[in-house]
Amino acid sequence: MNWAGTKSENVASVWLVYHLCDRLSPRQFKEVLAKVGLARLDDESYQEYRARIRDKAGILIDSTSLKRQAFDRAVASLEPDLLFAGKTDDYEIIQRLHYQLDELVPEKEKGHEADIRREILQRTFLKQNNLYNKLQMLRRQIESMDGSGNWLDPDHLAVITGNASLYSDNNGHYDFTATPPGSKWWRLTNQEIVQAWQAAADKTGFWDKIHLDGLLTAATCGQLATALRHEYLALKDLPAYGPEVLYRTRDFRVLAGLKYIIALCHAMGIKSDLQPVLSFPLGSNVVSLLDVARAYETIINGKSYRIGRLGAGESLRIIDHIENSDGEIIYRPNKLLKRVVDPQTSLEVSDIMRHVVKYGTGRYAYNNIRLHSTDPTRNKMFKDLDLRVPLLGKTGTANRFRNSSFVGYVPGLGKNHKEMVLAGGYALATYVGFDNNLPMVHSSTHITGSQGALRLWSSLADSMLTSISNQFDLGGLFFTDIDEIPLAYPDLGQINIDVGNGDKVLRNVDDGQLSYGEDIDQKNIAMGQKFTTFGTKTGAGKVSLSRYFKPFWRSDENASTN
Amino acid sequence: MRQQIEYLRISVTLRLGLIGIGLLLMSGCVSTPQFIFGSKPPVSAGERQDKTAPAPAPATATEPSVAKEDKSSQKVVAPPITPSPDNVKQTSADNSSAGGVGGGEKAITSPAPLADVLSGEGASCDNDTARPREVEPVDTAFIAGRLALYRKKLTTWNQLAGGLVSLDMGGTWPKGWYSCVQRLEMVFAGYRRLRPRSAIADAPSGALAAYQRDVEYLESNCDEVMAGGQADIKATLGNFNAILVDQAASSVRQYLEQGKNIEAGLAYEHFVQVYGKAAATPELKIMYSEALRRQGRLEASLAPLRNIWADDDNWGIVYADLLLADGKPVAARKIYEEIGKKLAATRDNELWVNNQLSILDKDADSRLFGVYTEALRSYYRFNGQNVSAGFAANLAEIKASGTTAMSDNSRIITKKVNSEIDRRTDMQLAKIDELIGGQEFEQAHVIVNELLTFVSADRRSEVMAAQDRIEEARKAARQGRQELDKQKNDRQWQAAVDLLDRREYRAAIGIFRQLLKSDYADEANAKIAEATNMDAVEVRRKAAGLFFKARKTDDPQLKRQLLLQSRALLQQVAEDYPKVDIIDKIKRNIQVLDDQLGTIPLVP
Repeated sequence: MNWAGTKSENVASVWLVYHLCDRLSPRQFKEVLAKVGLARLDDESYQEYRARIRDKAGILIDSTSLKRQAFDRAVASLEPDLLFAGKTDDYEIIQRLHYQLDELVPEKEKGHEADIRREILQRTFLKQNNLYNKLQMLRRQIESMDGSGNWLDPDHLAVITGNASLYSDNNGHYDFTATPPGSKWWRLTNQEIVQAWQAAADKTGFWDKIHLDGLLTAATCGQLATALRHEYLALKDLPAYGPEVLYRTRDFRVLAGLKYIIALCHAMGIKSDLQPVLSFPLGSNVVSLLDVARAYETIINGKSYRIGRLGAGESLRIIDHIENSDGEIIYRPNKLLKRVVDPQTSLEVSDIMRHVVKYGTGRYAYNNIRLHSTDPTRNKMFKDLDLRVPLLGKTGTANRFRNSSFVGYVPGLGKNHKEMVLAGGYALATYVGFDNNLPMVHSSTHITGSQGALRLWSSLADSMLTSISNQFDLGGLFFTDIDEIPLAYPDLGQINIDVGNGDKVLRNVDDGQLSYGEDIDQKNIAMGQKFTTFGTKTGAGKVSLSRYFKPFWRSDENASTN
Repeated sequence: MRQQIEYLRISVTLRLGLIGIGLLLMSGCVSTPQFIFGSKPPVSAGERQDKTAPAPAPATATEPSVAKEDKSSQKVVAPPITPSPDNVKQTSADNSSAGGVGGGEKAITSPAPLADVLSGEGASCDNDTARPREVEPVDTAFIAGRLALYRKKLTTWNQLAGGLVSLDMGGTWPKGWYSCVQRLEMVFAGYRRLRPRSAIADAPSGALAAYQRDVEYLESNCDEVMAGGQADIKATLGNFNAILVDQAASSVRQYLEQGKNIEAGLAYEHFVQVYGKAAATPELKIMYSEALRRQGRLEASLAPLRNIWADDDNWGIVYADLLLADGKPVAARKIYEEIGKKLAATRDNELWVNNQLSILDKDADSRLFGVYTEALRSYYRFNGQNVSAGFAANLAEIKASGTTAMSDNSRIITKKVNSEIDRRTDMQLAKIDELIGGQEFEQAHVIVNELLTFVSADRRSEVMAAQDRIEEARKAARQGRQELDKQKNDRQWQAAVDLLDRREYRAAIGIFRQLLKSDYADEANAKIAEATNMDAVEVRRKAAGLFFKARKTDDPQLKRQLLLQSRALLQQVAEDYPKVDIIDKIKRNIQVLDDQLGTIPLVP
């Protein structure tokens, strides 16, 4: 996620939301459900609960959703079999295979992205299984052929196989598909199919190795279909809205994750109305600038500030106090403080936002903001030092460039005045857009978050640094080779992983085990100098990442790995 | 002691001076050095106390002329003297006279003789007398005496040490013990080295050292340390014996209380065998006699009382009764008379004794006398619980006869027997309640059953009530235990389910297994099966991941390593969960791994 945040990979954010509850144990998931109002209440009957989840929350569990769930289970159970059988190609395909995708890509949509989407839509189990069934019918017809040499009716075979045919690349590879695989492949006639089958030493193996539409082999597809059937039979006898089925239903889990995010937003002080939609991270919910500033302050400091009576709190404090003519204080707003984000999460997200400014879309601020002083002597010293300022933030650009925003954080000054710290800083949010919501596009100019709002933000942040600049202790800085004012993180047991300037890369994240090193791989992630996370270094270039369950209602508890 | 030490210091100071003179003489000056070692030995407190110590005889053997001339020196040699200012003075005078320089009357308290010698007064510078031979016949008897004295001390110390060790007082040696032993051995060794005459001649400094150590020993408090050690041993032995006797008495008493009469007798006999009869106290003997009586060995039960009956009238009566019961009326009479005379017995005893005397006087020849003595035998065989057959009938017959003395004593016997049964009943009932408190219900039941064999009819209901109490307590304890077990099992169950929830399968299985003997047995079995299957599936998935990585790498070493890791995971599952659903798959996968491993060349 560090990389995703830095590179502004919105899809990664959607992925995170989609899988937010995947690693929770049943007990933890149940706790989340209870907090977000999706758990069955003590005095609620099964029928009432079903009605609530199905009719109000929109989670429909029918045979299709059961089959989707059965498919997920079947894939999980089949993976080791494929690996030990050496079917690694099938293994990799099956991991990206969907049970069914209903979306259609409009014919008029052209381009690379549309092609990818169409390809993805082809990768469904139902399509594969359809081909598999046709192939099996073809197989039965051919294997049941009598020895008289009388060929079956080609028209009949065409009815069986539909528009799919068997293709060969002349290297012993066969593909059963409706779409010609390529120029090197040719379509086999019925006679050639029979001859190829008869020539095969392993008659069963001949059919098993045939690929379906260039994806799974027939044997694997058959295995998957059998496993799916088995899982489905086990699921369909269970109560559809009972925990065994419901808790494993993808839509329900995603809904729980979204509801959690909304609850977290409210806990952080966001008052805008929020909808549980998967496009949430892309900006589909309308949130006021004040709400966003309030949320950033809470994320980085971990605490939500309120002024006024409990429950009716505002975070803006314009009036410090009111005195009457006798000097008696007749009003002073109550300041309420509540931890919402646990310190570890605060630190990790802060680190992500720091990298956004340093390496990502917020680089303008990093490159242009410097400490400066009203005192000419000090100002000259700052200029000579040319030290960059550690800033945190994130860009935001609306669809079709209708608005752009940058929300960030200017850290505070450390107690020794020699470094900056996360505590005591300022959350600052800027927004650029037309009142009539028209796109900010003019010929080739498109106003994005980094181009519009970030400039404004940087100007404001720069002016806010005056106070820090005047107090900053410059002694000793002249004798260092640093190019950035240090930003000291609180010591929470975090570890810093040095991944260099791209020559070292993250290599693999596998089941909580992170490897990093100098091997450069196309698929791997180039990163900045280092990032901060929690875990245990288990050897050279290896880290076992911590996994902890800290929903916002538990943010006051000590972190525990789980 | 102070005077004695002062004496010795003077003596040694003198000797040091004289040795110096001797050395001068040996180097050329004529003198009469034979007096050098001719003085009386120093006398220690130990020597004063120990009259058996061999007295050193310094002068007689080596200095006959001095012994003849000065009888006072004979006097101080044997028996050992008690040091006093007078005899210190005397001894010093002896020294001087032994030297032949001054007269017997002259007390030498300073190295004056040295000046005399140097001035030539009273001495002649004769080459003959200056030869070593005049030094050689020094006081070997003195050395022998000191040696004997210190050998005796050393022996005593060693015995003392042995005693302390045997009493397990090794950890608490008297203060100064080690330094005293060391000091003692040095003195002894110093004198031992002086035994050969040549040693004295060759190494007069050794003699000086021996003297110095002797003085130092006497100046120290080592004899007091030794005396303290002896006192400690005596006190410890006394305590030790008291503890032994207490333990033996407690053991014999406990057996008697429990009605284990044979064991009681054996316990006493074992004690006597180990520690001797002298260690047995009268109380022990009384109990032993009782144990024998209860075994029916009346005649044997007389022996332990033989020497102690006179110490206590009660014991005396028992002894006399036993004699009478054993058919020894004459001996019994003597004792009754003796006790009667003392009039020290209680009224009951007095009545009893008077009755017994009356019976002996008047009824000894009657038919009932035999019945009476039989009843008396039964009474003394009474083990606190059961009486022998015919006992009640005999007593009833005697009571019915109207013979006053016999009837009276029969009533006393009946009363004593009933009283003893009541006492034992009370004791056992209390014991039952104690056992109930300790939840030792089986043991309590044993006592109830035992009580039912001898409890009187009017107290039977108490025993039955005790039995009910046992059952109620047992039931309550069972319920309490079940409740505790249930709570514990509930906690364990929840913990195991939580662990399973967190996919910590092995830990969960461990706890589920602990619940297999509880009410959760069925559920636990099901959960174990579920957890083992889930764990096996997950481990197999990890193993498959490693296998996948191994297939993708071209590095044979890494490939081998990954395959071995994968195999180890599967092997572990196969060993730990041989009955999981996927066991056949796991075995096949292991075979695949083995095949793959076989294709990788071993890197030398």
